[in-house]
Amino acid sequence: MARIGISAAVVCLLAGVTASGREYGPAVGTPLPPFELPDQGGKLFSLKSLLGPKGAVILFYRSADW
Amino acid sequence: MELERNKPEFDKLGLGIAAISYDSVAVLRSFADRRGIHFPLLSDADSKIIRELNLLNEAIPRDQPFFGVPYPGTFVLDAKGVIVAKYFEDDYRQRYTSADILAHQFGLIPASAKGAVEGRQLKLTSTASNSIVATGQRVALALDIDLKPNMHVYAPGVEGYIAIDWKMKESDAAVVHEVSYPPSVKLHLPAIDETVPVYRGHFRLTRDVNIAPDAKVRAALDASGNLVVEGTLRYQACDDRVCYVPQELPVKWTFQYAEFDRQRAPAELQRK
Repeated sequence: MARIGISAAVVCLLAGVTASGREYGPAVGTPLPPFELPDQGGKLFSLKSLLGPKGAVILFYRSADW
Repeated sequence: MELERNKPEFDKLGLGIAAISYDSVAVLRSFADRRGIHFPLLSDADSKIIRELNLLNEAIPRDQPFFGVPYPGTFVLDAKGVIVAKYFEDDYRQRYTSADILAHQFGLIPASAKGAVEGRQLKLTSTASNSIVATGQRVALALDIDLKPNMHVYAPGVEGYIAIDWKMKESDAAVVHEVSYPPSVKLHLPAIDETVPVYRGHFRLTRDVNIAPDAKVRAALDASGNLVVEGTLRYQACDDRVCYVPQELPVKWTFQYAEFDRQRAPAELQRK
């Protein structure tokens, strides 16, 4: 699988800074703070329990309902 | 949910997935049942984690039911929970698709919305991160270019030659982002003793598009209800001896359009 080149846009993206310059969440290279939240079945998940052997993808979204 | 479709890809990469919102467990249960979601939809009902991570959308007045929602985006973490990349957009109506993240972060572009054009000096294959798109999604388009033996094309920044140039046709249905170019190689031309940036063999160009608001997309759908985005790839190819006439090849992506899902959780579960 070919690697994608790193353009200025992607570097900006990887650094997590958007066009507005606002930084969303902790900086790249720092840990995401631990949390514990219930899922749709009421089962509690810690950040640690979500990490796979290579890590995790954690998505924040507006709402599942509107 | 688009992430559910891509779960097998994240599994293969050894990555866990979870999605966090301010919805209650009851709303999430209703949504997961309706939509067949099997990965954790986590409930941050009082927006505690959203606030802690500085993701709260402050533009929403406190007295609105929408108050408490985060700016949408995604963190990619390593095995220790350290952030390796972030994908966020300023406009809360826009969001990166997980397929777009697979494309950027892991170089994975499924063979969806696929097309191929055979030019005289190269073969061009167009793919996209998603085959079905929805309003507000950010998806990746890719062009895989296979040059014939001994051929090269010029990379951006070249002087005195025509660099490869991927243009998109103006469309109200999709906002087009800049092209991401791979690193070029330096080619020495002994005949004229010049060194120029080129691409040879196989290389890939990518660029993102944001799918516009529903009304604009609808107005642009084709007769079969598909969203078509198109453009051209211009290049000049040369081999060791001769440069050929500059070429312009049409490129096109056809997406199924997923209508906005207006179904909600039962009224008694909804946030007031």
